[in-house]
Amino acid sequence: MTALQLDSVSISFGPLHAVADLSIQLRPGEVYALLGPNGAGKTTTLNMILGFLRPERGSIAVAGVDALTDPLGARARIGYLPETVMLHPTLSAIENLTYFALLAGRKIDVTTARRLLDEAGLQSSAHERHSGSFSKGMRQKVGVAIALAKQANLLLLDEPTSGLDASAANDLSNVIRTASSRGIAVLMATHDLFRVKDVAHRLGILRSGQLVEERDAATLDPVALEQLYLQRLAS
Amino acid sequence: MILPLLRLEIAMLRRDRRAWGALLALAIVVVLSCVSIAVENVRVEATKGDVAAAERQRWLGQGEKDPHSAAHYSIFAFKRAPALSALDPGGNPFLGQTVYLEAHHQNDMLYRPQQNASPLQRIGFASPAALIAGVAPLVVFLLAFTLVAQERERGTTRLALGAAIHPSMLVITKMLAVWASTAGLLVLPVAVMTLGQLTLSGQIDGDTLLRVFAWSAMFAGYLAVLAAIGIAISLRASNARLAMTMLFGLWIAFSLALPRAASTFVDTAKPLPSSQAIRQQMASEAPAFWSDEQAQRNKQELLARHGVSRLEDIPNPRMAELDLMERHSHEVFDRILGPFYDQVERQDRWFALLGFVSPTIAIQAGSATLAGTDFSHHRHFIDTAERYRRDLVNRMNADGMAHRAHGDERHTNDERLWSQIPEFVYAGPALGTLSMPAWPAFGALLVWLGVAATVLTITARELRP
Amino acid sequence: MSAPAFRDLFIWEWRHVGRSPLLWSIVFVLLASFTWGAATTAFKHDQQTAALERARADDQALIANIAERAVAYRAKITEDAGQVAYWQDPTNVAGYSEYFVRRHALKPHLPLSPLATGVSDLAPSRLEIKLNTPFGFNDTYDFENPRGLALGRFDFAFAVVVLLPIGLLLLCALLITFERDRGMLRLVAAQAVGPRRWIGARMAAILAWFIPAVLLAQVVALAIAGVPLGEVAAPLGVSLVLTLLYICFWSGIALFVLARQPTAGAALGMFGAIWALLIIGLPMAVSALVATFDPPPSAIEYVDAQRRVRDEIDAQRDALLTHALGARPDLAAHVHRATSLDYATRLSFLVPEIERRLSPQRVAMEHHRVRQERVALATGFLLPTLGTESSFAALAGTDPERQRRFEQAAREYQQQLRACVYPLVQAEITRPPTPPIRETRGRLNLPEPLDLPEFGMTERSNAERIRNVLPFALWLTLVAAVISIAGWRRADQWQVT
Repeated sequence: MTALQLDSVSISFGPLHAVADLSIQLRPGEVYALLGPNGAGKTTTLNMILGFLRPERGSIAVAGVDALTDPLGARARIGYLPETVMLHPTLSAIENLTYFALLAGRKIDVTTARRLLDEAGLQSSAHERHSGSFSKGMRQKVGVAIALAKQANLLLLDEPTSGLDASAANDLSNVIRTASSRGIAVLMATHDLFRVKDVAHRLGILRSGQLVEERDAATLDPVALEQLYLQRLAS
Repeated sequence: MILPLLRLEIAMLRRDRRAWGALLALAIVVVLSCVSIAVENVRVEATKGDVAAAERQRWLGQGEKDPHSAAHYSIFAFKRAPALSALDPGGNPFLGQTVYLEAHHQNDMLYRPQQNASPLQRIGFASPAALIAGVAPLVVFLLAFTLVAQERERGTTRLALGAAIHPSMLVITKMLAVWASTAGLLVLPVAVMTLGQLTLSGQIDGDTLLRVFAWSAMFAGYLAVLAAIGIAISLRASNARLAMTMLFGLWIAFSLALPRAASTFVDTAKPLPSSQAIRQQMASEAPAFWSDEQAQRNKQELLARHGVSRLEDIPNPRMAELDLMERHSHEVFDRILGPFYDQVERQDRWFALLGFVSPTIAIQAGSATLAGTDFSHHRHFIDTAERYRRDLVNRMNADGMAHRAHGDERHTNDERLWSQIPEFVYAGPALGTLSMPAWPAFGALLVWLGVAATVLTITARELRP
Repeated sequence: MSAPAFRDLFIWEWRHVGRSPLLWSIVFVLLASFTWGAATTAFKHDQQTAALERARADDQALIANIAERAVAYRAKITEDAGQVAYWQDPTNVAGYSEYFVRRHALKPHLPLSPLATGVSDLAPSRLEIKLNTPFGFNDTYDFENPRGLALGRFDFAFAVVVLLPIGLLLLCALLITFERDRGMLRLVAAQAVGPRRWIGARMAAILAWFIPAVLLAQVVALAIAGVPLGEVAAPLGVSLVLTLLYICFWSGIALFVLARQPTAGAALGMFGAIWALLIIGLPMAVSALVATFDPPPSAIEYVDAQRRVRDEIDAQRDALLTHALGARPDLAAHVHRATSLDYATRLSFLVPEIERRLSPQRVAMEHHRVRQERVALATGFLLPTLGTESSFAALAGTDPERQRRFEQAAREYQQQLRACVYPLVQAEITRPPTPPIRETRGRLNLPEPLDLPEFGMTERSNAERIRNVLPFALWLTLVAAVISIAGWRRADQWQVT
């Protein structure tokens, strides 16, 4: 069973074809990087997978669940990390995790929450602290823990490394690799070519809503990746 | 430099559909309420004029009769709506419009316009002053929020401050934009309309002109206080959400809760004696003709006063006794009603003092005074009408006393005497001639202006890119 | 894995909303407002009750004084104590009728009166009834500070109708828009929960705290104001139900607006607009409309009419009296006395004639008043703010309808007194005229003051009062349900793109 199956998905906003005939397939454990400039359609694609937007054509399935007919069922299988993870500032990391897990339909106890936060890389001393004092990286780790709590089949990352320092970005890479090793597919919308090369198995380049290139990341070194990216945007 | 910036800020305000729409909606409602009250005033005043003229004719044409009977026949005096009552009718809808000026009684003013008002009429009655005092704060705060807090959230303010504009210039322009928009749309149109209406109806004079200007200036000042508070809070609050919450809370406190709470507090802390107690006291002390025992005492006093031993030696003992009783009643009315009305004014002074707690209280107390619709102005009418009544009754009694009549004999008179009584014409007091209970309100508003300016200055000084 | 159960979400939200300082601040402010409103209204009503007691005592003192004078004036005339003038003589039935028959019609407050000021600050609860006052009583009133009347009282009904929705809307706007304002909404939306369940659970959690707290505050406030809760259990219960429904109405509006997940600023702006429309805008518009199409009869013209009619009656006095006596079989033989009747006896014939001639104006005013009440009642269904306030007043017994019935009862009482006294006064016409000189100080054609009936007013029972507000309560239930359902349906999609 594929973790994510996008078949000929299209959506327009008025005269603008935001995403046109997009097809992507992710196997369990596969990390896919969706590259493209601002306005290329990356976030729109994520919005359609999450059921926030309904495509005009095509189909989307998450771990075998049709996201168009059962968006809640599909979302239950998705872990999502927005560009900036914001949490309830007056709640601790554990409480935040418990809350979001509950929203995902899972009741977890404190022990499980601690384990998940540990797995996401959040230091133990921060588990009980109010998240209002957390850095962006720490909040993102709680976001990852939420995805882990859901036992998601698919992790959607929207510009995950934007605004992170090198150490935090490295932590995130580790988390992605861990997730991948557990069979969780990762779809990452990003500009960060370095991170793509670091963690992605495959990459796709979106331009004006169309997938203009799809490659195995392993076949490209960082320089070649950058050249390919610039070339695809220019052409 | 400031003018182009001001134009730009106002243009930005106008582009925010929600805030500008709210301002326009309120402006329309304010104008409509002013027009509606003015039209009603014209209708009622015309009737009062006609009936007052008819009363005068009735008085003159009552025929030949005993002057004391004429004093009982007397007239109804009508209180005309003050010139600015379309701007702020104050307490007038809850005060009688006419009083029967008869012998022996200082009657209550009757026929309050809202006497039998249904709950709908009561909550549906709104005046420009009430609307601006109560609802404008919400609109001003919304405009200030739009112009400052939202810009801050979007980062535009940071950009503007970084563009080498002095922070105080930015703050002052925003405050002026909010103030000019609200004063220009809420106060100016009704002030101009009122001036126009007064000119057309020939009521314009130095006093009304001064009142309109003072009223407009006071409301402009009120809006300036609100604009400054709105801008300062929007700038100082740590985020837009907190700013909106604080402004919303401030509106509720200033305009909804505190004025009514202050009014109820004053009326509870300094309660008026009940009308029942007042009337009962007057009824038991003023008339001196309900018992034979009292009549005997009157007789003794009359004899002593005229230095005679028999009633027959007084030219007209009946009229002399009536005059004695009448003058006794004047003293009783002054002794009982004077402190009662003083207490009403004291309540109003306390209410005005509470203007230091909320600028809305200050404007509510001050506005009615400037419009000539507060209780001190009403009392001026009561006192004027009562003086007229006493002069009329005394003149009738004096005519009776000057003519000999004993036993069943009755001296009568006719239009020659009735016409000696001047027509009742009431002119309201000029601004500043009464001891206005609302003085503390003007002081409070000035303090609010000072506080608002200081807070705004400090906010501007602390503003950093 | 399935979507979270509503119950689980609700429990989580309920625990966290209960910890919100905002919730308790608002509840505290409402409790303080309720208490202030109920206590100050109770204070005002206590003052009015004291005035009623004084009026009652005044009536008793007058009755005692009349009895005392009636005994004293039976004495023979002496040099020091001569004949008593007829207006001072309670033993003269004519003088008695005009100068000694004075009673008060009193409208006592009901035990639940602190619930709403209603018309108790404007309309008199005490009317002086004399035989010859046209239409029962003069148009007097108890003077209240006009500034206070214009501003309106800060009573319990004001706190519920005006302040409670603001508190509730503020609470909903700030607690439900938190995720939107903080940028968390996408993360929330990405979980396995739809907006309906998420907003619904939070709203339910807010209401689960807010409703009991507010209802308890209502009971506490009224208890502090001295309302005997046990005595008024049924109407108090209905007032609690009304408060509950009113909260549901506003929470429906809150749900409708928040269904589209706006920011706090946008939500508060929208709430402010709706609140202003319901509390100020629509009442003003409807009232202006009604005044345009059904203006009140002019009170000034009524004054003019009274003066004209009195002049006419004075001019036609003798003819009217002659006709009146001639038309009565028992008095027709004495028609020659029509022009020599004393003032009080004349009034017994002329006052009904004055009333007859003024009745078109009086009826027009009364009809206008009834129409206005009906319009207000109907508008209450359009504006739940007005309807709730009117219902509270109806339960408190401070409503215009009870006032009108009180005034009608006062008028009927006057007619009852007239029926007792007028025949005695008019019967004197058939007796020989009083000799100019008599032996006793008083006239003695009424040896004992009459034992006149007391004023009584048929009060509606609690059940009737409750029955009167039930249609509105049912309507409010329906409106609240419809708005809530509309809000629920509107919350069909996450607004996060």
